[in-house]
Amino acid sequence: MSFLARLALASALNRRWTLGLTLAAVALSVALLLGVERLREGARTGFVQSVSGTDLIVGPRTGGVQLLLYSVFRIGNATNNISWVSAQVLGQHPAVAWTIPVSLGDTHRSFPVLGTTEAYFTHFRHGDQRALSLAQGRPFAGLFEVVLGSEVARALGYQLGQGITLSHGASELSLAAEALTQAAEHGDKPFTVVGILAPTGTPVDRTLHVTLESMSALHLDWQGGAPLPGLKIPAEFVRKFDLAPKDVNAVLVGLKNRSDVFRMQRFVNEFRGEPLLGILPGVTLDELWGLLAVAERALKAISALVVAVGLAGLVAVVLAGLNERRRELAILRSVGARPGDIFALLMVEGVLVIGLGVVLGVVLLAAVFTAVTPWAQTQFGLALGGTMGGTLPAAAEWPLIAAVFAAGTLASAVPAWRAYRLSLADGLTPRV
Amino acid sequence: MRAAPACISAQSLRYRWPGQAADCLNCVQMEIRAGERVFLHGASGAGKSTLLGLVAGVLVPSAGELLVMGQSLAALSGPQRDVFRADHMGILFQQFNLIPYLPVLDNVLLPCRFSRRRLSRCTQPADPVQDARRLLDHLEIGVELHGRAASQLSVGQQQRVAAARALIGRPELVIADEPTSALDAARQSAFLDLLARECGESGATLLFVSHDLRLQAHFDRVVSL
Ligand SMILES: Nc1ncnc2c1ncn2[C@@H]1O[C@H](COP(=O)(O)OP(=O)(O)OP(=O)(O)O)[C@@H](O)[C@H]1O
Ligand SMILES: [Mg+2]
Repeated sequence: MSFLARLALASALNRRWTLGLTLAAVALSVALLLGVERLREGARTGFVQSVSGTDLIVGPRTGGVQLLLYSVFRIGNATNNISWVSAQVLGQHPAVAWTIPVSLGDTHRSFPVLGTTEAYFTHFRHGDQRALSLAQGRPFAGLFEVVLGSEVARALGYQLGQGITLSHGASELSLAAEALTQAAEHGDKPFTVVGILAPTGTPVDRTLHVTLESMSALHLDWQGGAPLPGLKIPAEFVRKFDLAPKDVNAVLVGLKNRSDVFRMQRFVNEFRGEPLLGILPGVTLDELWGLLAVAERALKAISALVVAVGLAGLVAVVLAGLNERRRELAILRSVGARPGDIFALLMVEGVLVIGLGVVLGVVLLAAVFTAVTPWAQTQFGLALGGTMGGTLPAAAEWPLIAAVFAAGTLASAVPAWRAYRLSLADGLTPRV
Repeated sequence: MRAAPACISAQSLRYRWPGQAADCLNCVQMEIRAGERVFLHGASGAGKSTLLGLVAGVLVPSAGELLVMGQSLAALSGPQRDVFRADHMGILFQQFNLIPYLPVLDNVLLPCRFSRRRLSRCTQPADPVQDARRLLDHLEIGVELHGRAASQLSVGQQQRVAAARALIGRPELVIADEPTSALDAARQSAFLDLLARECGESGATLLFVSHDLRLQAHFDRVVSL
């Protein structure tokens, strides 16, 4: 090691408390910057993979984003339907491997209720082609059986075998309002919890799943969103009625051959029976994520600002320390150190703090993510694998790290330049 | 007996601080021979420190000529003057001469780090520590202090360590700017005896600055500003 480097190290050690605090600030800001980046990337992946393995989502002629919002995220009202006949025609198309019908509209304590078929449990995929799995119980088999998403069970404390009632419409019910809207409750037809799904980190966790037939049964004595006056069909009699669904809100379609997707989309969009819309979920998810780009950019800007604050702190601390060190610099000049040496001395110190700060930040982040990953996996089903669980920075993070290091080096040049000027002006007698 | 060559020679030397209306040094004439021990005296503010800055090559004369060991410092570039200073001069300040976080020995060895010439003029260039220990010993710094951080020494000890640093690698010229002002009278005298003896031993010219005329007894000659 060169003498100047050793001198810088000894000098830095001499001021280890102030420099140590600055180092911590730099390390924290680097950890924050990289952490935000990883979370952002993880959230994006999680979002874009809310549904995977589905080649086409078919629904009534609304907007693509709207169709996606209610069929995948259960957001917004599914006002239009497609007829059950059309859904069946789709399912029998030779290119189609499977279909999952989606029927929405009811809620339970503000969690959405989804009417569907057993195909949901066998064919629905999310994340990296992960199938749904049951944490407890079994899929629904008959009428008035419900399978809960993990979040629903956790938030409401529901167990297997418990009886629950659903309410009509997606309106939020506060406890006080609940009494008034008793009329809109399906209180006469309670459901039994038969299964609870494992966490997925997708909207599935917040959904209650029932069969399409259960859905029809609930609404036998309803019309236009309200109970028919004077007509009450008790639960034990509903089996006597035709419970085949008349319509659904959307159909998720899986193809035998992915390459047929555009041909199939054209078939759907030119469907003769009624106007239909077919969307490619990946494309529309990307489109939707694009709408969130502003928030994403704001997050990025804030973490970049935090790094800037950390570096400004470093510059301030080194600059403030410089006055006390004028004597030290004058002594070095008197024994033959050139102004360039003084500049180099200060640069070494700055780069040392930045370098250590970056390394510490990366280590800190790796430690936090290693600790948090298993927890996030079980609590949120967040697939933090890949880049997020890794101990070494991912390839995409190196440019960011290099940028911080470069900015830090540049910032270190400020006190170094000042020391250089001082050592020229002071000569052998430093002034206070 | 042939006169020794000139170590410092100033002809009509002038210096004015930047932004100042009047000259700080006005037409200084001075001739100091190699090996002389000279006491430079002047009232406070007379420009003694300024003159030393010129001799050390940290400041550049506004006018006139200044030769140090026959070399015109004004003819050298900034970095060349830095090398020249490290090669040929040992410098002592009034106070706080040492890098506080370096051990005593490392402080003494500093000039050998920045100047090849100083290193090569040690009795054993491969091992300058020997000379450092010998000088410290001559200046009555016990071995037990050699590894201690400079900040843990008394002021008097610090000045003696600084003297060892000024003398290591036998520079031709030792410049001292009131190095004894922080010491009591008895210690001043003892320190000056040591410094003068060591300069005599290594054949260095000593230019000593003070406003305290009582110290002049230790020197060959007094020059007034
Ligand atoms: N950096 C500077 N800028 C402007 N003027 C200066 C500067 N340094 C010194 N001076 C002026 O130059 C003059 C001589 O200063 P100098 O330090 O050489 O005096 P000195 O003889 O060493 O005094 P002392 O015995 O008190 O140390 C003073 O009047 C001082 O005000
Ligand atoms: Mg002075």
